[in-house]
Amino acid sequence: MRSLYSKLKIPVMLVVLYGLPFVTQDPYVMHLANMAMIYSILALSLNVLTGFTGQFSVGHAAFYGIGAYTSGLITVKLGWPIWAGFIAAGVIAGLAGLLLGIPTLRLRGLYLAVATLGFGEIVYQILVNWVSLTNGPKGLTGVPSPTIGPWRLDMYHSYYYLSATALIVVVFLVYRLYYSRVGRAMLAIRENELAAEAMGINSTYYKITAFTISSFFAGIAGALYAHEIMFVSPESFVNAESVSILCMMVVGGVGSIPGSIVGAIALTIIPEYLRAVGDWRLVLYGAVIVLMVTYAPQGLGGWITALDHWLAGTGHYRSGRAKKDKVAAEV
Amino acid sequence: MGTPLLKTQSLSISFGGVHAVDKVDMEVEKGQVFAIIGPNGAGKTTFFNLVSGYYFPTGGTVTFKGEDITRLKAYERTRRGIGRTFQNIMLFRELSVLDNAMVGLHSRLKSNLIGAFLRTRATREEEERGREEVRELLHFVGLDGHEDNLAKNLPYGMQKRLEIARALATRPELLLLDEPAAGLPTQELSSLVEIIQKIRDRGITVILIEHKMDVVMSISDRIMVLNFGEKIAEGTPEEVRHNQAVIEAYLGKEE
Repeated sequence: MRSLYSKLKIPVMLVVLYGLPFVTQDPYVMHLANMAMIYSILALSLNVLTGFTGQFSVGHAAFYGIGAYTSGLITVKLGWPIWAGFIAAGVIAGLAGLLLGIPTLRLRGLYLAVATLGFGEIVYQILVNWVSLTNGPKGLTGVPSPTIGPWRLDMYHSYYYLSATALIVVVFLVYRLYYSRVGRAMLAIRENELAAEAMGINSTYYKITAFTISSFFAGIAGALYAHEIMFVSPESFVNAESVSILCMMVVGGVGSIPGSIVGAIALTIIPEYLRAVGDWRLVLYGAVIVLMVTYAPQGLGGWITALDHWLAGTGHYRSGRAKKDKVAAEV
Repeated sequence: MGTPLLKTQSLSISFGGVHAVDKVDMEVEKGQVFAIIGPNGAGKTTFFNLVSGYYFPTGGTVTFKGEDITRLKAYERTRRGIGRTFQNIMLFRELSVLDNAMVGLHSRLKSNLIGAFLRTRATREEEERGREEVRELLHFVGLDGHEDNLAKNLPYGMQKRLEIARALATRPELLLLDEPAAGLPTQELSSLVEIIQKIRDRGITVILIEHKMDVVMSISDRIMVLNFGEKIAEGTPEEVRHNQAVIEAYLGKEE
């Protein structure tokens, strides 16, 4: 029974994930599903930086925006293929992360948060004011849909296969990172930077690496977004968006990989259900987050991990890694 | 005796006019157990921080295996063979015991990002070898069976031993132990002494800061005494025990 659970866990998740368009092709639902995939990637990418390495960022929408605009501009203005746009989105956003990572290395906690917040605002202002490049507040129209062989992914439900696959690839890579020497070094820095240095870890190098990987994935999410709604405008990358991503990660559980996904899906869907209550929507949304952080500091991810261990029959913590709600407590 | 393993010359650091470590000259030969003692606030831990690269001195030099390492950062010194533990335990609390020790292998493993993402054969084999090595070290300090526990859930004495195992995983030639016996119940002291002796038998030179005199006297080859940042005495346990300056530092001067 229990080994059956372990064997079937991943196949069942894949069937559910890829099966969704067979259940419904409603554009509203499928657009939300795409956004859930994109936000999952964003929350995961932030988790690499904040959850693994302990470095705060409240400017993640900046990398998301850089990715979206990079791919949008390259495909619209230069006419490059979309796949080149995706890669460029990751690379340019990754470089931006590297450039932000270097000067902010000495900053910790709230100071780093404020610096990243400032960076988010700078990127937003550039997107708004560099009209000759970005088309300013009017946004960039005519961003093309990708094609795979004979299939044109120009419907939300067909595009969903791309966004779901992108999420799977990112999850896979983030897991591998987590269980590697590099991931261990990042966790060590989060836990105790002085002790990490005593173990021969160059904390500067790994913090910059975390910044770069994190913003690379956020850039990919940006490209996914641009080609999904086929339009990019600065309004999608305001600081409030960074806060949303942060909330998704925290509600999911800081440092938890499944948590980031569940947190992102939950906080993508919940506001839609709350539309019924009109202006109270944001109040309730905020209340949900406050309650989660207060009563489940390990986040949804803590429950998932506990459930997973129970179903798999490994009573106690097994994998050698647990996650820290330290950052959650600071939020 | 050839070049000493560790040598400091006129090593000094001051914080806002306070000379926390003041012109300390010392040499440690390979294979010794070398103890640093002194009253509270004498500058012992500060001296460790200077040797391991957590502070940069305001004067003087640190030489390790004949190389001037005064300006090297902490992680670079670890890679050259200086391992350390901390007085106030600094484990990776939310990581397992095994992972804590695995982090100690960091600079000796090679797997990079590419290896991590692709999980190449070389990476997997390296991890497997690393885990075996670490298990052996955990056994060495008597932590068998605790591999999967979180470090923060270990009792105090085991946390101290995990710090030692983690430092040994960096494969140091010189190991700095900052008050390894502090807070340990009496019945655990003998096994600590035994661990330190076995570390020396592995060819690792040990410098320890310790307040428990029975521990210091039983395992040290040489002892250095600091008081107000200055070295006031150095010698064998027997010499130090009868040194007038040391007695005065500890007990006060008779009027």
